[in-house]
Amino acid sequence: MKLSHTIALLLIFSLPSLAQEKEKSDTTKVKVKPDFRPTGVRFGTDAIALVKSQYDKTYKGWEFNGDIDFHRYYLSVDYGHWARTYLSEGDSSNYANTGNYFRAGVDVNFLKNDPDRNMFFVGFRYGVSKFSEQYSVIVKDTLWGNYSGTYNNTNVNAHWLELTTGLRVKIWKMIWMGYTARFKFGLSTGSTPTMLPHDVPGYGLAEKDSYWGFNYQIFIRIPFRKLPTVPPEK
Amino acid sequence: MKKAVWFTFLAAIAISCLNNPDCFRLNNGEFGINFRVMGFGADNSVVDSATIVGTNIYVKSEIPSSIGLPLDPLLDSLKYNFYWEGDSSDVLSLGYTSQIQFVSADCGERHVFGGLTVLNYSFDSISVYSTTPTNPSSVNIQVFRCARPNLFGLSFKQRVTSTTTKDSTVIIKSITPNFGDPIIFQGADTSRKAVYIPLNKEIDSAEYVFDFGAAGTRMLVLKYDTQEKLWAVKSCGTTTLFASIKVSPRTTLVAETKDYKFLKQTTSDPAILNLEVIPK
Repeated sequence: MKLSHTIALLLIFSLPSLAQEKEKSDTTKVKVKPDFRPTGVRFGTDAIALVKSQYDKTYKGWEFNGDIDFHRYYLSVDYGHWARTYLSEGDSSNYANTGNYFRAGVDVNFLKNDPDRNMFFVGFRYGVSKFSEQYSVIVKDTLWGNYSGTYNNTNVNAHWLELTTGLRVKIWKMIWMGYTARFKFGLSTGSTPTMLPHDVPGYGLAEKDSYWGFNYQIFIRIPFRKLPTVPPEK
Repeated sequence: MKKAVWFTFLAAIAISCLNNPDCFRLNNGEFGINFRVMGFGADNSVVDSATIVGTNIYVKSEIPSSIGLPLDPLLDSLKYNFYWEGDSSDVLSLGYTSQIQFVSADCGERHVFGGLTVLNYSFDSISVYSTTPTNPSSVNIQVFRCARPNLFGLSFKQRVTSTTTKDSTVIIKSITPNFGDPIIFQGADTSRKAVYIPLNKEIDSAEYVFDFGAAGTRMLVLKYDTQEKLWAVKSCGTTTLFASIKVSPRTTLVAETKDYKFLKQTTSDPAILNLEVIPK
């Protein structure tokens, strides 16, 4: 998908918040100096990764997420692991990879006046991954003849960028839920002379110039201090 | 608005699920060579076939002036022999990179080739046009032959009406120029619709005696301008170009000037038909 399409998509996602702004344009705004002191930290995990690890035999993974607020800006970090295993019919090939990844970036909350600090956000991430993969194969080649081989990529570094959007909603007391849609692009991997990477943990298929990712997350929010009161609307 | 947002959201999810690659055209294991004549374009002198040294692989050329050749995924260089129509041959040693990539459990793997590098060759000149083969294959390497535009093409016609002609086959035993060796035709080769005769680059004219056997002999005298062209490629040196070719009045091959027609008054490489004649 082209980058321009993705930006359009992210803008469409952000339309509800823009509409909200318009609806309130006829009210009198009270200017309050923003308080950039953090009010709490959220820790969470990706439910999709946990569920997928149970039912998808080719995938094992988990991801932890965290963010901390600075007024309407959130410093977000993600740390995860995934491993994939594919065995072809007749055992003629076997692919396996495993690796950890880390993402960091900033989300901007467009729900400015929500008293619970629920979020509709747009943001970006910089992702890095370190992974290893192995491919064993018996190739039947009518031109050059049959051959077999085992190929390895060990401790390969990769990095990429993401545009993100999503929701964070307070469910009950400290429990929050939300989703994050990620448009990943600009993947760059380290040197792999004999085998091109197939799957980059945290990114996905390496041959794709861009990639969509989706997390459904459950968070616990640990407050540092009381949320600043939202100014009353007139 | 809500519907639009949901639609967009679901579309994004659907797109994210389109991860399964198709297994069609995974490899780029064939590169293309295009044969050209320096300064003249495609080389129609036909490369008949190519073989890969150390293998039994034989590739027959199916497109004039081009050939597609395979790359071995387990090696990083190959040596190709090229056989031209006639007895000549050429050699090309090529280096490249090959990387395997797992695609999916259904598709298996693919080989990604790149970094085409010419290591050695016997052609006049060679140029790597694109270092990465594509699928379907396209031109990666251009091979240049030094131009030799010294052949003059002559086709024989017979008059149908006062304004129209048709192809004619004539019996020719030999053509003897006033320079160099005579051109001898034997057997079935004597029956010809066209001939290509060399021009003399040393002077600005050439004479040819056509031996039509029982029909006797006739003479063709050509006059022309010559021009030396120096090529940037050292191995080609200079080439003599022939232009403004005219039929001299001393010619006895035709009865009168209306019995010949110039198609082109300059020569080319590969040779083209320059003149149509209705022999006397």
